[in-house]
Amino acid sequence: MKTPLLQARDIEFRRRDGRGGRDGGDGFRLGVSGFELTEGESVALVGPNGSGKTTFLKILAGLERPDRGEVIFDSCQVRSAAEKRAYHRQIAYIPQSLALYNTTVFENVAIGLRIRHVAKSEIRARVEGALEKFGIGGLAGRSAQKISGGEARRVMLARALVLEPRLLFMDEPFGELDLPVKEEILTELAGALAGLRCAKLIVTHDHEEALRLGERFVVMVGGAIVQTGTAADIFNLPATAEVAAFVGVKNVLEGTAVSSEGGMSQVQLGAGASLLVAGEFKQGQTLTLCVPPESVVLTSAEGEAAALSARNLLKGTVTGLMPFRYGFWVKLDCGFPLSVCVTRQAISSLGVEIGAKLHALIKATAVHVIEHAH
Amino acid sequence: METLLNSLREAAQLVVACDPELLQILWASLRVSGMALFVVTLVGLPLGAAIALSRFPGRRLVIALLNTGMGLPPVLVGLVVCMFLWRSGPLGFLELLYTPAAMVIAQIIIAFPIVTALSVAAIQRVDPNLLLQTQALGASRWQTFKIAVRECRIGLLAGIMAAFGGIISEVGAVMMVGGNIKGQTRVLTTGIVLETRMGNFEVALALGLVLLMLSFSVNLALTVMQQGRGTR
Repeated sequence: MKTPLLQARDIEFRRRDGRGGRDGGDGFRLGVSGFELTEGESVALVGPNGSGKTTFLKILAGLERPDRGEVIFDSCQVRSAAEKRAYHRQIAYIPQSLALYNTTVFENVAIGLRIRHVAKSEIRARVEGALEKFGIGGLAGRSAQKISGGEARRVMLARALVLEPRLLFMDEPFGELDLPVKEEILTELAGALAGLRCAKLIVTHDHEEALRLGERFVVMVGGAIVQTGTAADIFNLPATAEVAAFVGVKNVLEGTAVSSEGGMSQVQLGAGASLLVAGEFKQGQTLTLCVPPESVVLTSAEGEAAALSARNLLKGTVTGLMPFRYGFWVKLDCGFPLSVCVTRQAISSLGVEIGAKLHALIKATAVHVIEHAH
Repeated sequence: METLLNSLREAAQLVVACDPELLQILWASLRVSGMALFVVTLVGLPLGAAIALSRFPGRRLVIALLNTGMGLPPVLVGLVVCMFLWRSGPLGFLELLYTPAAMVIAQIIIAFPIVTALSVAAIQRVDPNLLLQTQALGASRWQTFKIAVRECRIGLLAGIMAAFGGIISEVGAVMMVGGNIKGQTRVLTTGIVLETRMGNFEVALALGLVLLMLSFSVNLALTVMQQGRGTR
């Protein structure tokens, strides 16, 4: 096992009041006992707003001093000003908000190389190469104050990648860009990263960005890392109700195991409704159930329902309809609230409307069960 | 009214003719205020940047004192400098009183808080995100300082312009510590006072015109520097 490129141990951080005084006990706290990043690895640090992602990223990047704990890069401590400077000259950091120097686009991209005392002729070649990769070669002589949002994001990416860093920190690098522009830049970024053996840590609240740029996911909630794993782990098997809510599992239900037999358990969800799930659980154990909306099948005829092998057949009434990009969210009352995603065609063929009675089919194995620690 | 017009006409003639005495006084003014401004910029600007970029106990008190210092009455500065430079004063052995050097010292004291306080204000307005980005790029203190100065050059030049305007037109301090000696410590402002008292309104006005033109050309040069690069 080779040593990781970046390590953080026993990090504790408490946000201080910006005015210099220390705030009371209810301020934001962050605590991470261990975090590692190996050479060339891509990690997406995800979590809801205010979960401490940016703060943790800044601590890892040596831009925020934790109250306790240490950051180790390539077996070297990152603590003193000199150590930090040496560290910063091997990494690149892209902040969340636009940060462009009041000079030309060329100089904005060249600044890191100038700070690192790279030879002038080499700076020219490298900056021009980086600008080309992001399709902004034509803007080199333009003032950085007079470019569009998409161009500004490209300048910031080019400024980081021209350094050929060993480790790249990105804090919401696409900001508020609209989808097509983001798509273009993602492609350019992939091109610029190809051939660089550079570890990446990206902070984002956008699932798509995380999936595109992260091989491994780290989920942060309330200042703590609550789950680490692949995209499949996080999206299909969220470790807590918060992670489930964050990854977009619409149906997070609290229940109590009432009986179990043959690898299956019956879970009571409030009054009168229950679900059969895979796995055996102790009677009376409190469980959180995640029902992926896309795994729920709606039918209008009971006969049709019986023909399918699903173990849970629920009768429900439509209480809400909400359009989204690929169809509709149908809210169903089955004794507990259930959200189902339905295509536009299915809406009309099933005759879905408010008040309609439908059958919902859920495979026992499709339900992800989170056992509570206590 | 006629006196005014006549004086103006004669003043203009003196200026156009480049009267040697006038040139000599102009040169003395430029030398004293230019020297003071040079020293103040060299010290005050980096000091202002250091105060703006660092955190230390009593920092706010220092900023408040500097802001107060921007309004120092020149006459008071002149008096205190005089008391230090008198033969019996603590710095009397230097024998600087009634020399251009004494005037430079007084003007440094007047201009220093202006340049320093306005530098603090200008550098504090640099986007903190940009400073964070600069730090993340691995910049040393000196590199950070250069980058911060470039970012707020407009504000910094405004401070230098304000200081120049303050000392070139100031009369109280230079009068007290310089003594208005003809050919040595007579500057435009003290010259105006003297000529006015002697009833030579046209000479006083001519000196005033030169003062205005000097102020204008220096500020024009600084403004071109400021705006020209800022809006490229």
